[in-house]
Amino acid sequence: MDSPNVELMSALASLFECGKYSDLTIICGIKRYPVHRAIVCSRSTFFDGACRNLFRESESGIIDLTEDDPEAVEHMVNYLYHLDYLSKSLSRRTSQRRADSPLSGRISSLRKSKKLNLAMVEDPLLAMASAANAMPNPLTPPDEQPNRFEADLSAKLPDMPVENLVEEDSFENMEAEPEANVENPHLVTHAKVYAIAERYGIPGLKSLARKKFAQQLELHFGSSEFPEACQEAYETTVDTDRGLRDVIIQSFRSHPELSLRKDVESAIRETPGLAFELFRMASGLPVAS
Amino acid sequence: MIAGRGRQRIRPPRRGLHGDDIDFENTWGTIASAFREIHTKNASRLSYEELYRHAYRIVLKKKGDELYKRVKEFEHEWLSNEVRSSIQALFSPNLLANSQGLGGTTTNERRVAGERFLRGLKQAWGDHQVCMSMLADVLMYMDRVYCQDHRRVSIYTAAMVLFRDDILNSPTSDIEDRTVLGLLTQVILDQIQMERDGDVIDKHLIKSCVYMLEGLHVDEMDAENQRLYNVSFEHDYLETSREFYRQESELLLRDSDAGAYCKHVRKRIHEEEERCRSTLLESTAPRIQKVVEDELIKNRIHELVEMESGVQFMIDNDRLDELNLIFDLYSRVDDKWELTRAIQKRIVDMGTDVNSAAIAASQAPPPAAESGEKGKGAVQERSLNQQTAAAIKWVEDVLQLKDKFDTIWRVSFMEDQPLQTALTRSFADFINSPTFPRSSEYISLFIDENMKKGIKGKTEAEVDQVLDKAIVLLRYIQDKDLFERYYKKHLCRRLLMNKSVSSDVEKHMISKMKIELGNNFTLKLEAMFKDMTISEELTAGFRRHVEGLGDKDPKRIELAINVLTSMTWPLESMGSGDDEEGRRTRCNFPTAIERIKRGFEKYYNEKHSGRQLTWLPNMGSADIKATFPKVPQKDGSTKERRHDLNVSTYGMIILLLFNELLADQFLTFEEIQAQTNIPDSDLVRNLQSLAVAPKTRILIKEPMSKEVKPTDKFYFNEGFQGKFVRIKVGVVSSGNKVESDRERRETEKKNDDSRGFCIEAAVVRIMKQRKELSHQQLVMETLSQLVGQFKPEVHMIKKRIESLIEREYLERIEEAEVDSYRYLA
Repeated sequence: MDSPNVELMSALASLFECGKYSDLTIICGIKRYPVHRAIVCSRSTFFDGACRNLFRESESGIIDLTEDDPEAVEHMVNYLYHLDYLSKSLSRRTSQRRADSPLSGRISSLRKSKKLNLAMVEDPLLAMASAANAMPNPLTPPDEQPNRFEADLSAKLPDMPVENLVEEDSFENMEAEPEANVENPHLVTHAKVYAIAERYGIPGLKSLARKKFAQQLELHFGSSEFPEACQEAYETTVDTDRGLRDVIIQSFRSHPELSLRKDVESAIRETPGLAFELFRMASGLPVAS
Repeated sequence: MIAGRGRQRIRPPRRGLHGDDIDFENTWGTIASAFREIHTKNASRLSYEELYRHAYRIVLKKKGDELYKRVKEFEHEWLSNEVRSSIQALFSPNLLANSQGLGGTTTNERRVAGERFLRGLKQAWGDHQVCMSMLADVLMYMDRVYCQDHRRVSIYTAAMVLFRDDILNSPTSDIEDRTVLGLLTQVILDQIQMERDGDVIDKHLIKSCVYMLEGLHVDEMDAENQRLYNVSFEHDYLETSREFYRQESELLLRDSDAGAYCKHVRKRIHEEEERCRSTLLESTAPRIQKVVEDELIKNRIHELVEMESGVQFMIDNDRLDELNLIFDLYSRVDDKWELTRAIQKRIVDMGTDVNSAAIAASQAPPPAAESGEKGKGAVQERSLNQQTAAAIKWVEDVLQLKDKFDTIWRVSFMEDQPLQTALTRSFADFINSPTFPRSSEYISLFIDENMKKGIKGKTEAEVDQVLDKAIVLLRYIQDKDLFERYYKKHLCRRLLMNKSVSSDVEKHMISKMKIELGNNFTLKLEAMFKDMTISEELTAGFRRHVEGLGDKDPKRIELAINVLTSMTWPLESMGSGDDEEGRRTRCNFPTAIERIKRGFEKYYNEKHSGRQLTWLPNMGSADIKATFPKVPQKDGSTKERRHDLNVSTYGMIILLLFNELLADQFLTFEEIQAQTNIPDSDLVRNLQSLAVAPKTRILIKEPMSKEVKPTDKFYFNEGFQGKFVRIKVGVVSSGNKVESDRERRETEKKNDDSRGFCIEAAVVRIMKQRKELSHQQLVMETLSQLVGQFKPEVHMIKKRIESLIEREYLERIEEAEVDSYRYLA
């Protein structure tokens, strides 16, 4: 990355860490994020709407997001300043800064496990494997949306990642130390971040979350988080939002054995939207009506 | 889609969105009361986040449709109850009265009431916009997800439409069917009318209301011509304005003069332009402009031009400013035909006046003609001089006219190109008018006069100016060949008689004509100058030759000679009328002269063999030293008197006859003629100048009278007395003057002859190239080839073609459908 970009990114990071010039505070439960209207309002239609009009928020300078999931809020704020969330470099900073915050204990303990986070690693072999998995199912109708999406994703996989990884890490010039987290693919977290991005109108975060979700699901479709992630995805956005839905349906298509899992089965029973789409898939109909 | 109702949970319920189904009615109640707060400007008490969350949840739970409907209902209720009543509170009798257009209310009352109404409406609209943008921000998710997916217009737009339907389209009262919108249009028009009448109105206020009309459309299509502004307001505005200006123009044309009218129109145009900028929309500007232009200019243009104080008055009185105004106004409407026509008419009228004045001046009987003392010759001479003077006056008048219109064109018409063309055409029209055939001659005479006298003592720049004027006129001349003929004739005399003040100026003029009319035109003129130069060399060479022959003879006659190329010089037109029968007169020279003449012929033939020299005694002049017998002087002494006489060649021949006569001997006219063989008319004129003109009476005629009769006797006037040593004996009509009618006919005949050659040459050139051509085309091409020289008449071309066919240059194509010719090589 060129140095002007580095300069801007580290300036944003330090603004966030020090809370300098902050003119807006986001509250979520007991957490307070001193942020900047210029940065958050220009990225999110929700914050813009809150600050633009003469509501209580614009007068008090406080936006209370306690109703939202605290983890998702933290990731969103992180994204607004770092263009990423849940990455190792960020988590280190975050944990340094908020060593005293009650959540940080949990997060840092997660990070400290130092297990390999495959989401951040670009293994060509893995990439090829996923690309092979993503091969279009001959049974599916050609104009099906998930297929197209998958094709996109797999086409990108081989050449995109390595650079990406370098980019993300270059903030602090550290080596791409493989992040350890094989057991926790954060599928639910990504789904929540996706939902909050949709809710507050942050398209960049939405697509980032989807990308992460898709990558993780590719690797961890067997994860115990999968059923909950499915529910989360189907309940937090409207039916027409295909972002996560397509990824999930594609997983079911590529891995029919998923449906045999008990926990998956009960999740499907509870999530009519998912059930309906799976039914359509099985019937060979276009999933998205 | 299936709504996820009543499902069992296998996990503890999560917070937030994933809670159980929301109670729509409850949530809507919260939202609705918050909206009410927003509308009453208490938004700061509300949490945006909360409202957003509620709306978001409703949409997420697929109740977007219901929410959308409810919001619209809410706004509808709000507008038709709260807002409409606040608008209705603004209606007052004064406001409603003006719709009937009746009196009873003063303008001021109406204005105040109108402004109150406008202000209230503007306030309501502004509030509505602000509140709706807040609502729209709260309902952002609905707009983004529900409205997009279901192709609904955004809630904001929908609410603006509601304002149109619930406020603007609501009736002003129960009994009238007039809507608030109609009233608004009415009020704005009324206010504008007040401003036109000189009142000051609140333009900003109106502009805000206009913006509202601009933002709303009649239907759901967002086409520009469907804006309320265009449909409801602009149309009425243009119509009332049209009516207003129609009446105003009528009133103004009746009550004021054209200049004031133009000033007023310009003011109105400017006002309307300004009004569109400050009060209405710029897009109206071209339309209202057209209305004003139509009503004030286009429909009135004729009356205006023809007014007593119209264009003619302005031209005659040099009202450049007003002409400029009128021009400026006319350039706004498409064609300037009326103005052009009026100006052209004026030019032709004034030009015709100049023409008639010149004709009248040239034909007026000379005042001195009554006194019978002077002979008919003098009368003729005087009348010729008078004609020359008339010619010069004509040129100067035309130039003055040209100056006048040039100034008008430059100052008032902004150097408009089409108008210049029109001016030029009009000038050409009267200059080439068939009732005034002498313009070519007059212009040439004007140049002649200036070359001989006019430019004396003038600076180079001034001379240049005079020449340019002549060129300017020359441009208008259609029959350039005729002009060339006259110019050659006049130039010829100037050159041969040394009348030119400066040969540099002459050459300068030629070069100017070359630029203006092309090389062809000046070719022969330049050749004349060349002949003059060669002649000078010849004369000098001959003198050296004679000197080399032997002893210096004190009685030797100096010979200065001009050898003229016969095709180049218009010699025939310089000869006297005796050439009618085509015979070249040959007079008898005295022996001494004859000898030197032979000498030169020999010298010349040695230089250029095979050339024939023809002597033109009528063109030459001679210096004679004459000795008169002693006569008593005032102081008593007697003294021989010597005079240097400058006479024409013929004069010299005549005088030399008397050398051999005794003092009391005489010669009769017939004797002189027999001895000299000088043509009658030349002889008469020379005798007149020698024996009749009072100051140069070197001969005595008997009987003494102006007329010269064949039986008259002539004596040498021994008692001649002259005040100067050097005496110039002028010969009547030797200068360049206006031609007499007879001369003119001749000139025209010659001109026609040479035109015939030109036409034949053109026809042959064309046919040689095209081989075959229809009659029509041939005539057209011939005309276009000759346009630079003259405009031939078609029947003349026809004749020439006939003649060419006879001489077998061309032949008719027998089988052709239309008359066609073929070139015969």
